[in-house]
Amino acid sequence: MEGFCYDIDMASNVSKNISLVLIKPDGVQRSLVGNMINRFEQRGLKIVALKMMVPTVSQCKEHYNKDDNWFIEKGEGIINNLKKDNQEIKREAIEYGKDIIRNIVQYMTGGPIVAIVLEGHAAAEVVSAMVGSTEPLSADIGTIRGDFTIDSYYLSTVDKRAVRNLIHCSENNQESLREQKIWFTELEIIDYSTAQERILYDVSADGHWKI
Amino acid sequence: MKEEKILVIIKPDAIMRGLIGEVFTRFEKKGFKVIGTKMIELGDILLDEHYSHLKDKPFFAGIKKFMTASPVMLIAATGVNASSAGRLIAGQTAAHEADAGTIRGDLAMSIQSNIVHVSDTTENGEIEVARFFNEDELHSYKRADEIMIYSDVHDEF
Repeated sequence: MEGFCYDIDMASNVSKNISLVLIKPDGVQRSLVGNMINRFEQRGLKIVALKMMVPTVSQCKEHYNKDDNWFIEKGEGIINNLKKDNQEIKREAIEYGKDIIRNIVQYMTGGPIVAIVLEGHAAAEVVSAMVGSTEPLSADIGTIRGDFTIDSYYLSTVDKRAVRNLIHCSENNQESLREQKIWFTELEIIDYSTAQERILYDVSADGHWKI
Repeated sequence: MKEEKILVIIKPDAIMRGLIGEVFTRFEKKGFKVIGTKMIELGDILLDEHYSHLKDKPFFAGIKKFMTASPVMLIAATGVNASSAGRLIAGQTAAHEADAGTIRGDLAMSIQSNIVHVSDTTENGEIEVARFFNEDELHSYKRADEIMIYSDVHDEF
């Protein structure tokens, strides 16, 4: 240990995996930012970038990154549901599919969010498990969505809006790297180490604490 | 109704001890509206300006070393009487003597490693938020529960 800084001695660099997290407008509104950060810190993840911002439409579109095939597939699903419900089909499947992203853009650009890059061993997988499934109603208790919110696909479809699920997280490390570039510049990513990381990762930490 | 701004710096001791969320939560729950937040590394220019009243003290070099040991989290927040509310929940500077229930009283033991800086006056709140945040990093927005945080000062309530 040099001054206040911690040198972490380890053979592998898997502790440098990242996860891109967005605390969405409903998370900010409901004063859950600190609680979510607290959960990530307690698990052993480190914040390497963080800022409050209002997303732009183009950032959202780039982030969700969907193509026509995706729009058509989702749109056909929506049409099937509408038919079952004996409702009139007014548009092509692709338009119904695009509604999903239009609604998400409306939701995401509606107020400030907090964008975070978390770093740690298998960060994307760990964070995904902590966040819970996309639909809050069916998310496990103990996950962020399962503990803090209640929205469902049914309710959001009937009300023609996006699912309000408090938080986004990347699916894997590769996606994290892609998404990170949309929300942060290289200069905003900070390299430092914490006391906790030394306990978690350092090869010589065992037996180091005896006096 | 006079809305004030405060600047909160979550210091390196809190960052490295994993207390960011804990501190952030206390400001959110109290009823502050966070209008900007970011993690940054403090440089000499900002530190010299922020601690200009201490620059001739023998311990100034130590403060600088401490404040640059890791990044810090900055929070710009607003609220009615924000600076007096902020002072109260931060607690006394000397953390070992700070009241239990305050951030410092609950989370810290020392004077330098005292978890947070919070603007202590209305004037300093304005100055410090402007010092650490650009205009485009601050966001004004409506909070759904605002009317219940200030039921006595909202005309429409």
